[in-house]
Amino acid sequence: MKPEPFCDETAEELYEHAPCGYLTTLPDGLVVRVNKTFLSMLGRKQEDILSKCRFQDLLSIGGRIYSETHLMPLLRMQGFVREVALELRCGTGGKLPVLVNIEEKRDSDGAPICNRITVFDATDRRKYERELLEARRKAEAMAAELSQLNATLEERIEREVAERLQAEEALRQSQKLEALGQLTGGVAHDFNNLLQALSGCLHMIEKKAANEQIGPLLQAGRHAVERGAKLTRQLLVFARRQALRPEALDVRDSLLGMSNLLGHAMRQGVKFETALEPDLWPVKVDATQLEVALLNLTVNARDAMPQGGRIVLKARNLSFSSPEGPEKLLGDFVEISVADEGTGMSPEVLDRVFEPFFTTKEVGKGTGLGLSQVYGFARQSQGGIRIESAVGVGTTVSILMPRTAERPAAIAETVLPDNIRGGTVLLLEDDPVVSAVTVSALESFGFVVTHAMTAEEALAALNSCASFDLLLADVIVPGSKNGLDIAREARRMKPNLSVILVSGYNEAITGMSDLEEFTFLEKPYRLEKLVKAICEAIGEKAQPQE
Amino acid sequence: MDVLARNNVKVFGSGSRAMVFAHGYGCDQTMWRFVAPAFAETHRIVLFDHVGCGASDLEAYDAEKYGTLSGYAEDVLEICAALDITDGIFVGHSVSAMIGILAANKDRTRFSDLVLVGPSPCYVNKDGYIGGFAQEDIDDLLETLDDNYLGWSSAIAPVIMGNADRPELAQELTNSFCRTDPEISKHFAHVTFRADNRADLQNVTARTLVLQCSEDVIAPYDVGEYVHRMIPRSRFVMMNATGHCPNLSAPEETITAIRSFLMDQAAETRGET
Ligand SMILES: Nc1ncnc2c1ncn2[C@@H]1O[C@H](COP(=O)(O)OP(=O)(O)OP(=O)(O)O)[C@@H](O)[C@H]1O
Ligand SMILES: [Mg+2]
Repeated sequence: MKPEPFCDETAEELYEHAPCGYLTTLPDGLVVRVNKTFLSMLGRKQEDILSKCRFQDLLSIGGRIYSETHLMPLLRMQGFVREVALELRCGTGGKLPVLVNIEEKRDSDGAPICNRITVFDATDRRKYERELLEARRKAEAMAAELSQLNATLEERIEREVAERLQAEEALRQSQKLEALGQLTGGVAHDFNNLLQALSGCLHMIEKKAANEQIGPLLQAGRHAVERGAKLTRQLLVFARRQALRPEALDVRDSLLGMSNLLGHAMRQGVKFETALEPDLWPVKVDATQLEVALLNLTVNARDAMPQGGRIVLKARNLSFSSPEGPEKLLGDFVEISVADEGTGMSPEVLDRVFEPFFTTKEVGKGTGLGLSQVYGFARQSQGGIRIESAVGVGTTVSILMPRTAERPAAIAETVLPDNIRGGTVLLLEDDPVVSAVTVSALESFGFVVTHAMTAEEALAALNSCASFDLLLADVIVPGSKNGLDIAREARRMKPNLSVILVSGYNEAITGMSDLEEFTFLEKPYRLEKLVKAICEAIGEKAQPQE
Repeated sequence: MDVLARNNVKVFGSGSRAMVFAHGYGCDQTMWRFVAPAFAETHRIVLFDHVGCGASDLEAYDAEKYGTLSGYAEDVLEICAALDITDGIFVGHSVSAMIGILAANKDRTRFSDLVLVGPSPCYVNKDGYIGGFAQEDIDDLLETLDDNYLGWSSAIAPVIMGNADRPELAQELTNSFCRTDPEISKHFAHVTFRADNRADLQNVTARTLVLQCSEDVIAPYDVGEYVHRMIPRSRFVMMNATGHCPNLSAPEETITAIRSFLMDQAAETRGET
C-alpha cells in the first residue's frame, strides 16, 4: 500500500514550516532556535538573530517596556503567558502585530531552562480590535454625553418653566392693560359726552343770563370743561380709540420739527445726545402722536435724573424674521429709544407703568398718563414698546414702528442732480437734535458732512486744508462770533462758497443787514426743504464754472 | 479607612526590624515571592500592593492623589504608621525605588536602609540627562497596553463592548497575575514615566544599596550609576542577572546582595556603639 503523501513529512520540516513562528530562547531571552516561518514573517535572516539577539530586542519599544514590566514577571511566576499582543520589528523597518504565547521549560527543581515561544500574525485581528476599541470610546463618549444631559435635565426644566411663567406673566400684563383700556375707553367716551353736554349748558347760560357777575364763573366752568376734555382725549389715546391720522413720514423730520420742544423740556445739567442710524426706513404713524410720545419719554427721562445726567435718543432699523415680543412683531421696524442714567424702576413700578394714572410723582408733578399714551400710540400703530430698567442704573424705553413701503410725500419728490451728489458740507449747528438729524439726512443724500458746534470749531474747519462746497450755519451759535460772521469770513476766504443760513429766532436776525446776500432758511425746516435749498445753492455756483 | 486592607498588606516573619517590600510598575506583591521569604526568619516582612494594583482596594483609587509618586509615598508612610515601623528597611523595585526615597525623605524615622532594585529617577531623556526613553516611546507603551487588555480576554468582542460594569472580569482572564484595571494601569504608566525625582536623590540620608542588572532596558547602567553617584553614602552592586526583574529571574543573587548589604550595615552599627 502506498503511504499517504504527508507521511514523509519529517519533524524537522514540520518545525521549520509550521503555520506559526516558533522560537526557543534562554531564560534571559537570547534566541537559540528559530523556524523559517518566523524568519519569513519578519523578513529577517537566521544569522542575524540566532545567538545574536534576545526576543525582547525584536519588539517595538512600547512592547519592550511592557515585556519587562508585565510579561517576564508573569512568565516567571505562572510559567506561561497566553495571547499577548505585541509588535515585532521587521527586517524592512515595518512593524508586525502578533499574538505571542510563551511556555517556560523548567528543570526538576523548577529552575527555568528555556522559553518556547509561538508567534501568530495578528494583523487583521489587531485592526479589528482597534476598530472595536474606537467604537467603545465613541460609545463611552456618547454615554457620558447622555448622562450629562440627564444631569442637567432638572436645570433645563427649571429654565423652561421660568420662561413659560415669564411668557404667561407678559400675557397677563397685556390682558390687564387691554381690559383697563376697554374700561378707560368706555368711561372716557361717556365722560366726553357729558362734557359736551355741560359745555352746551354753559353756552346757553351765557347767552340767557343777563347778570354780568356770572362772567368769571362761566369762564372758570369753561376752563374746567376744557381740562376735562383734554384728559379724556389722553385716556382715549391709551384706550386706542382716538382717531389717528397715520402718514408715511421720515422719523428725522419729526425729530427736526420737535427739536425746539425737546430743548425746552431739558434742564440745566441734563445732556441730550442723539445717535441716528443713516438711511432710516420711513414709517407710517400719526405725526402728532409720535411727537407727544417722544416728548413724554424725554420728560420721564429728565425727571428720573434730578441730579442731571445724559439722555440718549437713538433710532435704528430692525427686522424680525420670527414673531418678537408680546405683540408678536414680524417684519421691518424703525426703533426709537430714549435712554437715561436715572433712578431706574423697581420691578413693582415696572409692572404698572403703562396703567393710566399710575404715577410715583408727587401730586401736581405727574398725572401718570405719559407712558399710557406711548403704549396706546405704539399698539394702535401696529408697533410695539420695550422697557429695560435697572434701579440705580437707568431706563431705556423703545418704541417700534412698522416700516412702510410708501415714501414720505415730501422726500419722494426730491431728486438730486448728479453734479451735487457727493458734495462736502460744513454744518455749524449747536442743537443736538437738529445737528444729528441733519448730518444723518445729508449723509444719506450722499454728502460728506463736517459738523461744528461752535463758531471757533467752524473757523478751525474752514482754516484747515479741507475744502467745502457749502456752509450750512445756524445764525445763533455759541462762541465769540455768530453764524453770519462766520458766513462772511468763509466767503472772504472762498468767494465761490455756497452758504445757507438758518434760524428760528426771527427777532434775533431782524436788524442784521446784508442777510440777503445769503440763502436763508427758517427753523424748523423740513428735510426736503433743506435739500432743495442746498441743491439750488450749490447748483447756482456750479453753473458758471461749467 | 483601613490602610492595611486598602493596600492589601501582608505581614509575616519575626525579627525586630521590619522589611517593607514594594513592587514596581506592572505587577503586585507576588513579585517578591522568591525573595521575601528568605528574610522571614530574621525580619518582620511587610508586603503590599499599591492602590490600583493587585488586590488593593480599587475604590480607593483617586487619579489626583496618585497623579504623582508622592501620593504612593504617602501610602507607604501610612502603612508604616499603622504597623508602627521605625528604622525599617525599604526594598523597592523599579518605580517603587523612588517611592521609597520620597517616603524616607519625608519621614526620616521610618526607614534607615533603602534597597533600590533597578531604580530610575527619571525615565525620559531631558536637558542632557539620559533616562533612556523619549515621549513617543511612552505613547507606544500605552498603545501596547490597550492592545493587551484586548488580547487577554478570551471572547473579545462581547467583552470589549460590555465589560465597563464588570471589573471582576479581570479575574477570569488567562494571564491573571499582576492584574490591573486598564485605565489605572495607563495612568500609572503616565505617572511613572513622567516622574522626575532627580532632585530628591541628594537629600537621601538613609543607607542605600543600588542593585543594578545587566542589560536592563528600563533602567540602564548609566542611570543606576547616576543614582549611586547622587545619593550620599550609597553602595552600588552590579549584578549578573539580566533584564529588569532580578527578584524573579535571579532571586538567589538578589537575596545574597541584600543580605550582605544588611550584614555590613549591622556590623557598622555595632562598631559605632
Ligand atoms: N425714565 C424713567 N425712569 C424712572 N422711572 C420712570 C421713567 N419713566 C417712567 N417712570 C415711572 O413710571 C411712572 C409712570 O410714568 P408716566 O410717564 O406714565 O407718568 P408720570 O411721568 O408719572 O406722569 P405724566 O407723564 O403723566 O406727567 C412714573 O411716575 C415713574 O415712576
Ligand atoms: Mg411722564
